Amino acid sequence: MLLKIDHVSKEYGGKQVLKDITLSIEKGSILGLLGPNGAGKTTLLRIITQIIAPDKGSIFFKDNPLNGSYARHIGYLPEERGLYKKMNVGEQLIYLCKLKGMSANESIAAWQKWAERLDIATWKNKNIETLSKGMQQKVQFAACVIHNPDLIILDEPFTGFDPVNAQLLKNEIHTLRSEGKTFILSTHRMESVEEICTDICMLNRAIVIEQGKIEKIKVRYASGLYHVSGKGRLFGVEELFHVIAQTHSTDDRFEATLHLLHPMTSNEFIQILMEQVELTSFYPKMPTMNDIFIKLMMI
Amino acid sequence: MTGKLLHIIRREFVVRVRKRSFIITTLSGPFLIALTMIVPIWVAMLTSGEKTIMIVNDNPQLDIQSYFTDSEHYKYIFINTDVESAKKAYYETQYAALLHLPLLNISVPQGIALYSKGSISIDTKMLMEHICNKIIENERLNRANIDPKILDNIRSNVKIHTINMAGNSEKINNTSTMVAVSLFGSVLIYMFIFIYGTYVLRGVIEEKTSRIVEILITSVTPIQLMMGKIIGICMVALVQFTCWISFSGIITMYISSHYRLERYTEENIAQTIAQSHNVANTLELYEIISTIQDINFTNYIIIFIFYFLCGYLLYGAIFAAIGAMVDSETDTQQFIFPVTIPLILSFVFVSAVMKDPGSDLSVILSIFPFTSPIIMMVRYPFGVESWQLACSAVVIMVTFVIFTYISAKIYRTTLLLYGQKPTYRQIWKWLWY
Repeated sequence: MLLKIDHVSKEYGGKQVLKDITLSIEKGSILGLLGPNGAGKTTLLRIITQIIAPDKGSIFFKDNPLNGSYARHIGYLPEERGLYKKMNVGEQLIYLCKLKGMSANESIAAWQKWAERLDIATWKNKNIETLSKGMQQKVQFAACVIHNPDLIILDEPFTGFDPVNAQLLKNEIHTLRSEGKTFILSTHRMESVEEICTDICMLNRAIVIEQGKIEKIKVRYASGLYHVSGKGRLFGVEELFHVIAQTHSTDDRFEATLHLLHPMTSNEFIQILMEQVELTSFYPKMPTMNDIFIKLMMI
Repeated sequence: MTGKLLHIIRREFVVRVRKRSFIITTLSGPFLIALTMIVPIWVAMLTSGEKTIMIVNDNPQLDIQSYFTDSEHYKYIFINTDVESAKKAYYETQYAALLHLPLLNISVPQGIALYSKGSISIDTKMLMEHICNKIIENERLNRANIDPKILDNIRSNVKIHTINMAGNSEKINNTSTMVAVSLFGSVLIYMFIFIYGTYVLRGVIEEKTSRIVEILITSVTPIQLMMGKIIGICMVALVQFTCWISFSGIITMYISSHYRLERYTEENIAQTIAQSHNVANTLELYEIISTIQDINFTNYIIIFIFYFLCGYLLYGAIFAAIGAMVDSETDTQQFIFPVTIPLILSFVFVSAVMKDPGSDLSVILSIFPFTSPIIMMVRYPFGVESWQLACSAVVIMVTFVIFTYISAKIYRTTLLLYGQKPTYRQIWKWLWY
């Protein structure tokens, strides 16, 4: 376990922002931290990055209580991007490396590695204020990962990126994950969560309302809809399943959406269907993360 | 921990000393100070060309010609016509002015006029007033049968030399010179505290508004960040001050050798007086040079640096806390003003302190930590007792530690606070977080 958040609570001026949050993040996973505005996501990220301290509870990093010595092992891309506007890119990134505790030589080597990897070497002597927003975002991402952290926290990472750079960022996330890095990704973009994340943690009104592996959560929220195709004609069976939609082609082939009414395993359901038609495909229709998010927020 | 603090100090230092504005002010500072002294003299010289004044006197009983004697700067032409003809004649000339003395009632002299084709200089007007007053005073003395020469002999012009007996030696002091040195030191320390304190304020606001602070405090503590900034900017100030002192030293050495100021050392002064036609002026100059030589500038600079450091660190910490509380520089006014009141008040009291540097008020103000940097600079050239200096130093250092602790608390609490103007009540609450 890379990070364990144990019964963490935080209050601001009498308002409970986080209440008894418990969460574990495995090494190499990409956790999507989801929730509506004001749910407590940024506060939780700030507690993990040690910007603020929790009122109650503890955080463990690699099974040890999290403290200042782990600053170098955590990279943070805040939602509100920030760099020194009048400082050039190279100096800025090297300075941030040094603040993380790296030596001058290590910092320069890290800059050279990431300058090449993100194709920003030519911006070395350019002041941040002279760069476009997208270019600044790239530098900001470099600032987050340049010190080779084990845990990378990205708060709304795709904001401000054009599709090309957004894809570049996704590729970098996958590459870094394959190198053993762990991610916490806070975003409102559900399609990105679906595409990138392995786990999610959903916060609402200061508490965790759902967490776990995405596949398992999807199964849990599956609505009993199945997509089937094959040869023949399907008819609904009272109290077992309804045919919601069915299309036919000229060679007696069909595609249909079925709603299972009676709990049973997939094998049992397939057996029943095979009595009517010749199946060529059968799979449950899973809810999207967007569906699950909206469903949970409406409760 | 220390390494990170050093990195912050280094960045704050390097970013500022690299700026063109820093290089220009550092190099030109001593010259600008010199210019402020030279330019007024130069301007005075420019405007002091020869002026010719036409004079029409309607009082034949008054012998005024002996009063208007030609000098290096003024020439006088007497016209024996009526004033209207004189005015017409004056229009045809390039003369500076036309002075008309109408028929005067010596008891109540009225109607004296100075005509000119443009604005007349204040010097010329004052000179004409002085001469006219002298004419009328002497005429009144004559009418009272008093010889003006007797009155001149009665008049006295005493100049008292102040001699400082501190340290079992007698040293001639020139009070005006000490006042000048005091003022210079106090203005400089005020400027340094205020300018560099404002740098701290702006630096904190810049980091807050650019939002980089959220990244920085994942690596360093807010206290490290605040202290790094304050110390880094302090180093910039010290470098600038050192450069100014060095350049000023070079300029002084040049002036000293160019104008052979060694003539005014004690050994040479007797000889200089003996050769001089104007002993009083030479003595005055000797006093000035002697006073400057007697001020221990090494000690003065050490005291200056000490009080600058303490004053700057004290105010710098408060300015940093103010910067952390607000989102923009315009929001700082409501907090900056109350903080700078002691600094401004110091200047209000400067004249009172100069009048009596040893008074109770002067001693209290030079120990009170928020006014002591400026007031001690004013008092020091006049001589300060050691216990007062020690007491003042201890008080300001203790206050600095306390206020740095308080400011750090506010800084830490408010650094990530956006979009709300804090009230004094909130600030009070933050102190106890």
